[in-house]
Amino acid sequence: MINLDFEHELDRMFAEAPSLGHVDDDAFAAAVNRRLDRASAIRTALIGGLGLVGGVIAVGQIAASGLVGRVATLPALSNQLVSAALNPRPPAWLSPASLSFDAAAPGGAFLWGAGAMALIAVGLATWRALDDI
Amino acid sequence: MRGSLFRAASHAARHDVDLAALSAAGERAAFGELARRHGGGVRALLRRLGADPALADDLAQDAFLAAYQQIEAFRGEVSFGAWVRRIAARLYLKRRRRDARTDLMAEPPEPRALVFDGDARPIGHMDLDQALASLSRPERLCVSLCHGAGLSHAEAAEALNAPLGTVKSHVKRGLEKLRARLVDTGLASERTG
Repeated sequence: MINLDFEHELDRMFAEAPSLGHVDDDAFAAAVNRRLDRASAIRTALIGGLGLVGGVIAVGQIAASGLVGRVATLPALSNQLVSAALNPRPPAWLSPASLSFDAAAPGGAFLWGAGAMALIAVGLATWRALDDI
Repeated sequence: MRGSLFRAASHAARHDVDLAALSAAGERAAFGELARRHGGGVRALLRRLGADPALADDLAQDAFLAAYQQIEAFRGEVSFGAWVRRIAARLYLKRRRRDARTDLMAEPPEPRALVFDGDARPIGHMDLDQALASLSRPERLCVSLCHGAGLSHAEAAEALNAPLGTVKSHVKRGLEKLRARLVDTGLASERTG
């Protein structure tokens, strides 16, 4: 049976690092710091780059979907609606059956854009998870 | 400049747990102090496990990077040095498995001497490394993992992909040999022998 005192003494001997010199310790710490800096710079650049790509895609898809144009016509449309509603004999196009929200439905391009952004988000999350492992 | 010098000096006086907390809060200089304090111990363990000096330095840096990324998990239940040594030992075993794809417990064709950069030790001075060199590779690996990296026998067995009983017997035989050599040379007291 190995003596527990000896095991503790052995643990202590393992914990005491052989002297490699102060200069060497400082150089090692500096090397660790350099690698931390590099990892941080790469991560920042990657996140920034992916964010930029995501942003460009989002802006492109919003422009392609014509959302801006449709939003611009909204005040005029609401004016028309209010005027028509105040009219004692509203036009046929204002009947509930003819009112449609198709214009507000997302187009295919918009869905592709959303899909691309979702993919980027999943990629970022996976990358972060792998990084944590 | 004066501010950073003052911070470095104040970090040198701090306890590891405080430095780890500061590191978790983003204070990189605090982590630098931890790396300075414990880098030698981590590299020494890696060499004792069988890594050459260059690999030991690389893996020790990797271990500190991994420690920095999970610094919030460090609660101070064990010493910071022991915590990083444990990470380093796992990285070493992982690297060995990836590179060699061989049985980690197998004896290498030629026994590898433990080499330190500043080997300016007195001739004939028997120290822990020389005592470890007298063990077989499996004994040295198992003793270093359990007593240097703080792994339990079960954890070492899992890391080495070896039966628990085999690891226990290697540790037991290794400890007996080490005790005999270290007591002989007066590095371990007779009381513990």
